[in-house]
Amino acid sequence: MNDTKRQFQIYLPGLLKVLAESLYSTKKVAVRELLQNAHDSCVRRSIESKDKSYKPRVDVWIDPVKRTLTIQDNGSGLTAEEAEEYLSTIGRSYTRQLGENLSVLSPEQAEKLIGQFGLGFLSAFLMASEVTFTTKSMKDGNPMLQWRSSGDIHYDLVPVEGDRIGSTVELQVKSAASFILNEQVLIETIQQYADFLPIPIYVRGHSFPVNTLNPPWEAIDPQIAIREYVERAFNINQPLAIIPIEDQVVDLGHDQVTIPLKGFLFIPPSSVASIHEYGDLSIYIRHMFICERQRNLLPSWAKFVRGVIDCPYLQPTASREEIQQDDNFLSVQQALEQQLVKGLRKIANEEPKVWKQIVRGHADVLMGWAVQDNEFFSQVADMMTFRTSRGQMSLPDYLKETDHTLYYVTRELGSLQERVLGEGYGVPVIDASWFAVTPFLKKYASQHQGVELVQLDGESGHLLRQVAEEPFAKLLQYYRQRGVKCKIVMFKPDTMPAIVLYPKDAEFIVETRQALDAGELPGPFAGLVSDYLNRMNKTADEIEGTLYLNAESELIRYLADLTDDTLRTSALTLIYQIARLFSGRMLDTDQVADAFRETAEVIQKLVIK
Amino acid sequence: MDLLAWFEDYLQRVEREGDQQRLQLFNTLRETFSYAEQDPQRALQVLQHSKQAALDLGEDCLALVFDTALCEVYLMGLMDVRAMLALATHATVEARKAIYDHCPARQYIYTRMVNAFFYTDPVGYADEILETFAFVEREYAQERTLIQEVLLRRALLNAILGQLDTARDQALQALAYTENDPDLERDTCLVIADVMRRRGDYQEGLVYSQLCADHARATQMYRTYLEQLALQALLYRLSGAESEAQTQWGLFTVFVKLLQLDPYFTTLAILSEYYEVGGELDRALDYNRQALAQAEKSGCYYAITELWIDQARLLGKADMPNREELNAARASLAVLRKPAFYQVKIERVESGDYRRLI
Repeated sequence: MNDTKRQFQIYLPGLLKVLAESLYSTKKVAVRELLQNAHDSCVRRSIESKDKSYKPRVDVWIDPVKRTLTIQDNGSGLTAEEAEEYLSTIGRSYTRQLGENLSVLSPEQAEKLIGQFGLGFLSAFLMASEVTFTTKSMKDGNPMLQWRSSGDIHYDLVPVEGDRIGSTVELQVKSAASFILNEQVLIETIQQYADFLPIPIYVRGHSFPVNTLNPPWEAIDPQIAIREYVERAFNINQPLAIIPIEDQVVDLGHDQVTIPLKGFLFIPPSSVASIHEYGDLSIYIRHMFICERQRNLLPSWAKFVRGVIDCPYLQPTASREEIQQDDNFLSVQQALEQQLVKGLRKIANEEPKVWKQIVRGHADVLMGWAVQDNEFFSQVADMMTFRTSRGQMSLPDYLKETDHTLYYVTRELGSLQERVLGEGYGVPVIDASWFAVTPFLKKYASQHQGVELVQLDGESGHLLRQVAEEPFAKLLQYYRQRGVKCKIVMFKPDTMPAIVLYPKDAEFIVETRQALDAGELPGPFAGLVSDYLNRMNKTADEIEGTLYLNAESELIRYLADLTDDTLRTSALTLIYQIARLFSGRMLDTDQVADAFRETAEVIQKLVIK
Repeated sequence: MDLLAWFEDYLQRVEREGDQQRLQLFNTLRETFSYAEQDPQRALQVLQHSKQAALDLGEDCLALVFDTALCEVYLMGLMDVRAMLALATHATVEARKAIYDHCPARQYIYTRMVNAFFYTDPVGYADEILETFAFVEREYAQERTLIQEVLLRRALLNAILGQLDTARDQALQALAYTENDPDLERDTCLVIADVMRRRGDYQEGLVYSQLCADHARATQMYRTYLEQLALQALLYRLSGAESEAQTQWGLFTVFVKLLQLDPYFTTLAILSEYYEVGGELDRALDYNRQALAQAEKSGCYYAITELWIDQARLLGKADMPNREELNAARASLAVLRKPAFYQVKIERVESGDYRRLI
């Protein structure tokens, strides 16, 4: 080992090195970390320097032939002691130390600093086989120093010739990171991470910086700038609304705290299903990009909202690719929810047309929220539209057609049985299969005097109301003697004398048995499907349908009183077979043949008679 | 036409026609996978809703694709094998129809059903599963992803059956089929690492576990990533590299906290072994119990039996009574098709042999 070889001081032996290697999900973050170091160095110089004409800047070069990436700043630079102490000690952050010192004297300036973990510099080795760091401190009497390391436990630190204040990092780029030697990729990477960094970043000596420097919310006309930004960054034309985000006072119970917040939320136009939207945010901390698609900061009901925020109150994780979900996170969550609610209320009150577009475009998510929030419920209840057997309808429009009663089914509308039974009431039926619809309807009914709620399917008994068996005993006896499960009930329409309904899974079981018998499933899969069916352990009796005779039907009432047994038997046979045939898919070929045979026999008897 | 070609075809068609609704459905499918492991309930809702939207648009094949995606969410996100089995079987019956003759999702839903049986009772259904593998290899020889998946399942089944040399050869063969697809490489390295661990090839296991972890991170499968961190800690400990094992354990704990995800029950079982190897039987038992509680929710019947046997073994090793646990292991055999395979293991523990079973 020569004189310049020195050993790293590792805070937590072993763990941090492995952690640093495992910390980052993409090599590109090395660029962000180095730009952040350059930024912090410039901030420090602007704080500590007495030179009022100081203009911070960062320059980035690539040399594809030499395979180098160079990032140069004109910031404060490091003295030999600082380089020794902070650059080569993994886990020690000069910025954090400076921030802690400065926070006593100048909290505002301290807030401008980004770094804190002391791991960032280590990330250079994600891209580089060797890193050369040249620095000269702005403090008088310090020589220019060159630090060189190839990522093992040794590094060189030697004085070199030069008097330019600031730091230059040169990476000897590994082949696995060659992508960064492409100028376009480099610029995109810088724009991704440092677009809002308030220090100009120049690539390959171009006269204009590649970063925009200021976020759109700091533009002279933020509304226009934000709309342009949404179009460019999110590829979304004409968002329905934009809600600016500002500092927010949050009540912590024992105290109040002002959460520093900047940015905006926006509501995209409608989609196939609004739940498809992310409810995601792009997060910046002091203008430095941390992550996109953060999905936990916005309230769960706000999946239709997206946005960009900058919040120094959030704590990044060590990799700074995510944020810590700590107490600060919860406070920011609270602050965002308050601003979002306030923003939406303002739209509802001042821009009713826009509000209507939002409600219609994102009905599913808003419905879920409205169920939780009384005040919001009252704002959207009459605007929401529902899928009914007669198309999309709002509740006020619906109620005009139903004499103030909401009829709904919790199973998907579309089956023949439900349509017949639902429409039997002569009213449109609301499809409440989507999870939030039923609680919404219940809340609506409870808050609107005179509005009744009727569930038509399930155990509700509304579709099929029980009646006494005794007057219909002969009819029931006839069917039961034939082994047909039979009940007498009342349902609408009364022109329908009977209906056959099957238990859950019966259709699947019947269809599967038919498919297996017909050899429609490939052999080896058929064996497994058959085993699944056996495990369901349903007997033929259990999946058999039940014949519901309609006590409201004039025909059924007539047959109950009919004394001519032959005629009654013929009629009942016809009624049963017709009901079975209407249930269609539940019959196998033999059963269909039987039904036709019996029907034909009865018709023949009647005709002959 | 294979599934990828079908996707390309579909995408080109809807883009050409400027059909935003169908395009959004397609994008939803792609995007849901990015959070299916971390937020499975939401992924489930989105996929169910999207499936219905696909049916409403008359896109039956796409609806079947959503079914295959739902199966993945049940398995990788929720570890709910019962629900996966019910859905995959229903969808398999549906997929037999002529309207799906040209839909490449058909063969995928068939194999999802086989996977569900695999995770329910691999030993019990081994014969049927092997038959389906032969069928897929014969009928869908051009479907690279499917063939790779079958080869990997063959390896896993052999590993479970104790045929470790064959398992290793098949898993390495499966790696050749991955062709730099990060999802396939991740799943393959996961199986290879597991096979190597069972074989006692700890160093090789570490190499593949690290590869798997890298791919898991890159593909945002963080629970898989956590599992590999735990496995690496175990493999280091098993190979006598204690400081590396503890470093890796530290890393695992850091990431569990950072990611805020519940580990799979298989991960908890690995942690149990990690502590057992380290001689901390009380912690080993604690992790075993946590794993068992999760396995019981999942419907992985064979895992429930294995974990009961392991609990009885750990208790025996700690000189504690294990009668109840042995009885529970026996009771759990009722739902398995070939109980004799596990009966041998129960008897071994009952006889006082507390060595870890492969």
